[in-house]
Amino acid sequence: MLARHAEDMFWAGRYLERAEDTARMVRATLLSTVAEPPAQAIDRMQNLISTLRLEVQAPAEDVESMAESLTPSPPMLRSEAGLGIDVQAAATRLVVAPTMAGSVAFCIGRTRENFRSLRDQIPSELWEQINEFHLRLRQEDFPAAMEQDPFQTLDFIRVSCQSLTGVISSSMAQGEGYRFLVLGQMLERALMTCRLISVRYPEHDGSSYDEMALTLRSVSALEAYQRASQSSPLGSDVARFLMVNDSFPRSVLYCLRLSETQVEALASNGRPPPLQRLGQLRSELEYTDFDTMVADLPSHLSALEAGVRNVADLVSGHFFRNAEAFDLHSQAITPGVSS
Amino acid sequence: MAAMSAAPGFFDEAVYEGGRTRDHYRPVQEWFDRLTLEQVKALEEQRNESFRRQGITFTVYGGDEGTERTWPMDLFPRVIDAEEWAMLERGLIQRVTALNRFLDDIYAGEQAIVHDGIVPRRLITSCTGFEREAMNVAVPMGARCLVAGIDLVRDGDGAYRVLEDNLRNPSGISYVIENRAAMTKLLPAAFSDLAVRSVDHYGRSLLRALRSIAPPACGDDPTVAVLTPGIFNSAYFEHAFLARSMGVELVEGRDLVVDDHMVAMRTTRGLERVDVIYRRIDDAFLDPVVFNPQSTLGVPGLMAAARAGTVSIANSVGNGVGDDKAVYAYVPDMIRYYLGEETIIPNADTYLLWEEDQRAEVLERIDQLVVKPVAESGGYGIVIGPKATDAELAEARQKILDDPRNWIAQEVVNLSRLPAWAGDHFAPRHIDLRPFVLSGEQVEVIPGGLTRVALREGSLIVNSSQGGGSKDTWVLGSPDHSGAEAQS
Repeated sequence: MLARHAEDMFWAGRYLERAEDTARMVRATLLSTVAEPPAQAIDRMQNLISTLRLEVQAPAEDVESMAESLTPSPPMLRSEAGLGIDVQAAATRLVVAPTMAGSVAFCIGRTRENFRSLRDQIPSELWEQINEFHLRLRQEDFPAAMEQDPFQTLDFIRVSCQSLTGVISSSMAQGEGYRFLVLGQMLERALMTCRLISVRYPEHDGSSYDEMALTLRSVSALEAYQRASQSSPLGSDVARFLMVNDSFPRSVLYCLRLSETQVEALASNGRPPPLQRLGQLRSELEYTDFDTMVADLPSHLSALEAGVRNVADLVSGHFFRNAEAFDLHSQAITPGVSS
Repeated sequence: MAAMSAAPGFFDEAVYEGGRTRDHYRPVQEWFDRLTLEQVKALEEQRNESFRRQGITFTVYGGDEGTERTWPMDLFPRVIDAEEWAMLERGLIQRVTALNRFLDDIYAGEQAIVHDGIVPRRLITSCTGFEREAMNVAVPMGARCLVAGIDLVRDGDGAYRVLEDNLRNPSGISYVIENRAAMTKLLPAAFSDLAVRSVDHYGRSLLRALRSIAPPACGDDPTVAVLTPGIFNSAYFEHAFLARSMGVELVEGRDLVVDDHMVAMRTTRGLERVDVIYRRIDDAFLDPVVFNPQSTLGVPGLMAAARAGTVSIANSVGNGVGDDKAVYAYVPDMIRYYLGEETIIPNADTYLLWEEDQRAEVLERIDQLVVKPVAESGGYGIVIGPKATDAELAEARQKILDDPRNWIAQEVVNLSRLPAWAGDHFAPRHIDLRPFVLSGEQVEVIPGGLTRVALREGSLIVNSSQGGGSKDTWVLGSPDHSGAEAQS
């Protein structure tokens, strides 16, 4: 497939995943602030904003618009928090602000733009679905709906993202394009889970159930965790679950494994650099004794995060920039012989 | 809901003079007559919602930036009966065959038509669309107008006339297909028992035509790609539509490279040869090496590759010499010259302004004529005498005097009328028709085409960029046509 199309697929996957994860995290955070005093709620929202650190590496042409939108988002919330911006307003911004890089509306807009340049590659159903979702997020009454009924609105976003993923897996041919899309989703999801753990882990100190429940709920992992582990949770157990559980689809290990599967299928020959790097990262995570890791969790997490970002760069270099071109002269041009 | 009566001076498609419904419109008319105001409004709503959801839009330049409007399709269809269509089909095949012969004669032949004194040499050399870079670039089977859009109108007597030929990058076919898809969903019952001929096979037909012009050296499985300027182009929707319906890659200039006269696209596995390019980029932007050096949309070296015969480009470069509006006046002569036939669908009456006596007459009667620049498309630059202000007429007169070769004048054609929805009732509006003609191993006409409608009362401008809408066009099948599309 065209390198440009592959890149658009990859980014569509990343933006779509980012939108869904952000909606989940906002929802979990709002839920736990419901019964809290305002000061604590503000801290919690600040905590979420740190988790969402706007580090989505956009394609080059986006740098300008990112810089523009980066400035207002986290610092503004920080300073305005002191001025009494309420948690709800911050949450609304994270969801609806169309120009703030990282907001749900922004990510869905980008997903749509990417799919728009892939109109000939994707099923019409998928295009219609993303188009409709995008238009709903940009409707005038949408911010008010988010203010008035945040939970229902966030559920709508989650369900819309899930139905997009459903259309993708049920009506898209699972060829190269599909694999780049899933790869983008998995790498983005791995990054989001890493960040969540690194921001939330220090809060687990007191082994408070509420804190751990919030962490788990942010990635919709509470129920899966409860089923997997009946003993009352320790902070490190939660981190272990989110990092190395091999059946929960949002654990970092799971995401890396699925990414590896995609790259393996995409690599036409041998083990290209992104596959080597992924293999290293995955086996390190899988075979390092977790108790050793937990002793210095922050540095492991940041190494892991950097590793995932490195994989994304290598994917881009290998598949999208494609430095080594084929030798055109080696392709047959003899009449009647197709190369 | 659709009562209308005939008016003098115009040909009404659906009714006879006196108001009786024409036979081939009767089932449609009866169906619309039964609709209530509420039902029509509900259908309008449903249609808008469906187009919006599917993102079937076009971009209007000049207004607010990024104005992406949903496609305006009027609910009342145009109906063409089998016999009428058979005549149109013959006429279109005749015309496009002659134009292909003409273009091939000029670019790759001996320019016999010039030597024989049928078409003046200076007419060719003075065309802005005449590309010297395309001289002696061969096109398999001479299929230079691979996709042609021929604009037809009906005059006051109901006779069809060709208003202009579009041989470069005619657009609109995607809307033909989307209109049909929308109508089938919105008004399934209106099709009742009519055997409306299908338009769905366009992608297959186009792909077959494109593959048929592949360079002989590339074997029997040529790679076809659609070349688009990108998502900001007003017709991007159509480009993507075509690539999707053919199942081929939609490439931009930056996806292609030319090395040693071979064209390849950058893929995730390196470079891959491309044999046929259906380009939707104008000549001027196609190859910065030989055309506009500022163009970033094109592919450096593409023309050299075409000349070397390793890649075929459709439509061919330099087709502008065939749809120049002054050359248009000579098409009946071409048909006689190349085919030895008389023209089946006549031209509109046209004046060539470089001819002194014709110019004098036009300048005298400019307020009664339509004045058009020869190389524009999309309705830009047209001055309609009876509707223009004195200042506009004076300006047109001056432009003609400054550069007579650049303008033609035509008698006003009172475009025929058909009911269209006007907010709360159906009212007569003027329409034209753009059928699409494919050239490959044979010349093929897609049944119907894009009917455009001037939605403003009394307006004769049907271009979507200027407030026009469209209608689904139903060609009724005859017994010998039933199942013809199934084979393609």
